Amino acid sequence: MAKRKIQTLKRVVAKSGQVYFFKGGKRIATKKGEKLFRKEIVNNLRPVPTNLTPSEELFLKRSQAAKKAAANTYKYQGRPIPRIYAVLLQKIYPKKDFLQTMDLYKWTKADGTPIFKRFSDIQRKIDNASQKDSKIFKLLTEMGYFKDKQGRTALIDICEIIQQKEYDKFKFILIDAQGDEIRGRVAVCTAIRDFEVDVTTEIKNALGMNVVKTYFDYSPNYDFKNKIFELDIEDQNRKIEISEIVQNQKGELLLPSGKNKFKNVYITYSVS
Amino acid sequence: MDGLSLRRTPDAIKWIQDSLESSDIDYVLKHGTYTTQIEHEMGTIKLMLNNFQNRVFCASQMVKKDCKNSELGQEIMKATHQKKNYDSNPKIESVKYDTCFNIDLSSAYAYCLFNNGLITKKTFNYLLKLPKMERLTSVGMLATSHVKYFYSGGKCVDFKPYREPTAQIFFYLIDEINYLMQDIKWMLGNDFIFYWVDGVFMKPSTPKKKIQDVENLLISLGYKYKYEKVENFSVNRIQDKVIVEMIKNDESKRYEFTTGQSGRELGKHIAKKAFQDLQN
Repeated sequence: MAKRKIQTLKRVVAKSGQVYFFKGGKRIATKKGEKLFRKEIVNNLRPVPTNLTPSEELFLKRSQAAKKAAANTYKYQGRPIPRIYAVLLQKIYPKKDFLQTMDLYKWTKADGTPIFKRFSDIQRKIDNASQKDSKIFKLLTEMGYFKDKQGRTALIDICEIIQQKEYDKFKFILIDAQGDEIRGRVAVCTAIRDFEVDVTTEIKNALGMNVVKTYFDYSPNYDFKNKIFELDIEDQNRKIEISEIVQNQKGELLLPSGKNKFKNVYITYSVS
Repeated sequence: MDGLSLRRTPDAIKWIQDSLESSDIDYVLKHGTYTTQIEHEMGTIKLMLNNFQNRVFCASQMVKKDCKNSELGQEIMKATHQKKNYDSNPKIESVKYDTCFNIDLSSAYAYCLFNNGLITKKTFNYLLKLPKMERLTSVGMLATSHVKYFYSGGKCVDFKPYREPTAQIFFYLIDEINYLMQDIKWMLGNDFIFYWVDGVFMKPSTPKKKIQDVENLLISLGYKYKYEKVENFSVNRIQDKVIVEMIKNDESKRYEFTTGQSGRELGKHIAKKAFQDLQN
């Protein structure tokens, strides 16, 4: 069988600066030629010519920078990991030799087993470190690593928060569903409880089935300067009943406009 | 008014409170997720949101007892779980598929408890026999919480929040399943669509090799899984809001979630406060 001749790409720069590409002795479209030429350069399949055009030079510069960046990017099993993880791991392992190994899957313990057998082991490591090291916790918070789970900011959390010593001198204000102002640590907590019972009962009545759980995600306002804790749960549209919302939507207590039914509390529910 | 068990409604609570106030009786109102109890000198009145079968409470007690008796359980109870959420997929974009793959973990929390040696085989089998919602409630009771309101002379004079010491074990379970979902998300790469608690949705074009890898991971960790039939799958993203609709096992399903940070001020504050505490 005759050996197939490899068709090499020929690049000719005219005196005018125009670049022409030829393959198999025939001229090919400039766009196609440029694409093949760039591919060959990136994969080191041909030496870099000295007469590069400004756009080719720019491409070369960028591809070299990208290669360098890729080589310096931490990966897990060959795929780059989010930058936030890399930054955090450098904080957790400041002087370790294996920081030089860019693939985290290859980081091993003394017995040769991988430190991060699963991808989530990286997250686990970061989570644990953040509990022990305040600097890491601060960094995580600043970088937006934490996202509070929905439904965990319920009455119990509010009560736990406002019972802390730090809030002793705070004024607690609640704007209730009717728009009335309620003041005082105990009164606010009691009113929130009544509000939760009312809403859950209305949802349950509207659905006519077991409400497994109603989640209340409150967004109070903390004024640390004037020491005021304020939570506004005023009904945003009293003409629209909870039962109407529940029948039209699933899982969220939102008005047709997309706003919360009650101002600063995002309510979700699940049923059985 | 002793030994009463009523349906929890605002009117019922108000009526009891008014009656106790007019009779000048001091009392403690214990308010939890499912029940509200009013304890007074003559006894206790129980108001319940849902009526659970006794087997739910029985299973819950078995789980709690086993967890407290296990070494890992004791360890978890001493630690704090950050209650964080990595997001099921913050980068999710609008998309439509006639069909898509869905791997669902079966009895995820029960298996997680058992696989980690937190419950005995007996408790595990008992849990598996319960219907899904009852099983979930039994395990969820690990994180029972309530607030006690102290009433004197008809006025609330103090309150005291309480969390079950085993609450951290429940948060641990959530985290463990979340870590597992993160592993699957990583393995699927571009073929991953999103996950919801213990079920992962992936593109219909997902290569066999990736699916096998996911299955191997689940098998190696001792989790049982099943494939669900999903049709008419669509993701609609409107800014931060994501609506996922599908027909799963011939039943319409709809999930809604936000990917933004709106309504997270309290979370941010808690983080800030915790940081201050850590610094001190």
